[in-house]
Amino acid sequence: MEFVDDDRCGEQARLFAEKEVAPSVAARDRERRWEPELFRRMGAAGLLGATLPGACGGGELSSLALAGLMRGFAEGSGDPGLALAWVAHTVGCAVPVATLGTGEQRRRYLQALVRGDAVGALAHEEQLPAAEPIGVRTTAARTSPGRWVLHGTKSWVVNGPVAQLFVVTAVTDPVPGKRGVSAFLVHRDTPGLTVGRRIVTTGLRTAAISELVLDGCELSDDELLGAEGEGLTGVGRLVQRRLRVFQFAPWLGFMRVLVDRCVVHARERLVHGRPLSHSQTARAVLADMRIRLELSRRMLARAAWQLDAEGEHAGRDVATCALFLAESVGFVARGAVHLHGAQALESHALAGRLARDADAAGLLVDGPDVLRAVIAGSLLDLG
Amino acid sequence: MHFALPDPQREFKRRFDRLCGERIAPRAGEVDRTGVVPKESWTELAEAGYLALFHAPQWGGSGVDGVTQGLAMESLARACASTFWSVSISTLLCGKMLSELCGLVQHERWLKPIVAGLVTGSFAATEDAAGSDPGSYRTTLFDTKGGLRLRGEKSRISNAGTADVAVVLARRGDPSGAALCYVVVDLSTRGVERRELPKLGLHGMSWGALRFDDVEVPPDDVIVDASVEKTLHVVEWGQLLQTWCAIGLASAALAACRDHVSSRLAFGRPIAHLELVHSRLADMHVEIEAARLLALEVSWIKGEGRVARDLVFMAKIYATEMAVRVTDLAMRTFGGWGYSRERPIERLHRDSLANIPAGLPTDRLRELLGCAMVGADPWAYEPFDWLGPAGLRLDGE
Repeated sequence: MEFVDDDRCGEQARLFAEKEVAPSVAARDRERRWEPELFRRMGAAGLLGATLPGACGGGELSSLALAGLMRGFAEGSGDPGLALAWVAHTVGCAVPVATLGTGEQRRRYLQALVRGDAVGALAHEEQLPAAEPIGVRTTAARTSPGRWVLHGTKSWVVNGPVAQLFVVTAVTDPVPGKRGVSAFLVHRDTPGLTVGRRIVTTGLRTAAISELVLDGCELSDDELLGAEGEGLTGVGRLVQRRLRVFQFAPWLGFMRVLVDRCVVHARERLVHGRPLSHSQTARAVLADMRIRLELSRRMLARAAWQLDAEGEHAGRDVATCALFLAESVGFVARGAVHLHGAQALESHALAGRLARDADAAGLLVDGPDVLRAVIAGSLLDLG
Repeated sequence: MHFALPDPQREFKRRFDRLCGERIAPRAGEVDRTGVVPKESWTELAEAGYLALFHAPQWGGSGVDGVTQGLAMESLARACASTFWSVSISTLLCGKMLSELCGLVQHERWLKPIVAGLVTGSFAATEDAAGSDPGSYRTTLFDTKGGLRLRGEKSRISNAGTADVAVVLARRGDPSGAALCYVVVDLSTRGVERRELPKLGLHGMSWGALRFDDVEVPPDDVIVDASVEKTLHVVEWGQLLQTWCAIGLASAALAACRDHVSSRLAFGRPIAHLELVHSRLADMHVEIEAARLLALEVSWIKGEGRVARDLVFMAKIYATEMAVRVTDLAMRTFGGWGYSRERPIERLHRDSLANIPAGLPTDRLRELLGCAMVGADPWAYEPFDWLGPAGLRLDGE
């Protein structure tokens, strides 16, 4: 066990984001605007393919290093929506294509994904009645040998309105069981695929989120991603742990920004004629924010390390990290609001914007209650 | 960063866990009832190498890395917090005072026997007045025609009743002067009086006052160069001790809850099936893991001989308050049995409360951290009108 922290990558990402991303974030947030060119610049800076193999233009970095990149990007950009888009693109689409895709699929899509010329998305979640153990209702029916037709609606697709390539899960074998779900790689221009209702969120407004409607969408075996029946065991296994770690990786940077801003604010803001920093209570709030940040940093590093090491209790460590981070992000944001008072309500203020986005960040992928059940199940050997 | 345990660390942990589980933990209830850590616990811990973990080979130590030290501290604290405190105050806190601040004479006379488990040590800084405020300490070493004499009373001292030696923080010459020194006091010397203080938890460890009534001090036993800053550096070892004690207690509480909820039946099923019960276990686990990862890093830093400062403050604040929350949650999980002295849960909760005030209370550590962040002076006093500016002065002034 050793704790040497090499942060060179993170520092480069911070400088890039400060120069390229931060200047436009307030306007993009106000207008809910997606800028394709900005995403391409992220690709050119090596962010989008950081962990992918060198053969397809990737940077071959470890998961821990990718987490460092995201932290740096967040510190420099102050843009949680774009960070989320990056996670959805890279973890939800590029990583599964690179890991499970056929030679042909990788040749066709990877370079564009790494460069940011094409935006990727994962279309997995659905609005379901409670009793649906697998979580997928979208169907893929075999119409003739080698041909499939998809029907269904995906509910929360980050990058949905702007993506060219979707990783879509669908039930290929209606007999209940994990092996009944397959993953497909679906291009935006495929007939029968339409981008559905744009989901207008309170926070994370620089990310584009929508439903995805598959209404008689025709595909061939060539569009299967991984083997038939391995949508949850293959793609799901690859993506789910990573999403739960990387959804929070940028928040280490955002929490750092909140702590740093609050220190400056506490020194400059006068309350009844003296700086806020002269209040012992305000200092205690700052100290607790910083403690949460430091604890979160190590929790996230261990979980990111587990993604590659797959050591004992890797799944539990990932869920533990996600639950702690979900609470810590909210804790730090509430501290920032506490210290900023009414100023936190000013929508253009960075602290206010990050505090607003933090509420949403903790709820993405799974809510805390699901994570608690996962952790308890592992502690009690309940499977 | 790398989180896998190499084989030597894993192997030591496995052996030491076993000793703690088989020998120390079964005695914990009796230690709590009788107020005594049995001699054989000291002997077994010395034989297992616990006392030697923190010290260099020239003093009989094993010079192992900080992570191994941390893992061992957690194992022992999980088994019995009283034993952990008593033994660690001696070898770790008093031992580090002797090794880092004192010279060869003290190393030979006290450090080696402490590391060998032959004598027990303690560290005496706080007095009746505010422990966080060293300016209030009045115990003084002064010159007389007959030589040096120590006068004053230290209070809330761990191992006060059982220690053979104490490293005492004292003023030099003038009770209200700025000059500080350490005096290494053989507690069998004439003029030393001890008084036990009753307390809520950690019943197995002696804790109380050491009174020095013009105790004769040979010049060799005085370390002249003592500053508040230097003391704070060594006190980091104490803060690490409390951090690991808290983590060990919380982890013992979680382990007890795991067994309990799996075997306890209610409504025809183990209570583990109740969502509020099992989700509580998840919350306990998450908090313990967060504290443990930071504590491991602090141990790693201290093991490399560096100052941890902010990180050890943060670890101590979070871990010690966490353990009180977690043992409280454990009490609720056990229902009425949590309150019973026939089960270990109430002891874990009582013991956990000691770690918050010890070795600088978490309130003071928060203040030191917060002041460092905004560049304020943690020793300053600033008068402030609470009512006027808010328009809330209601007495007509």
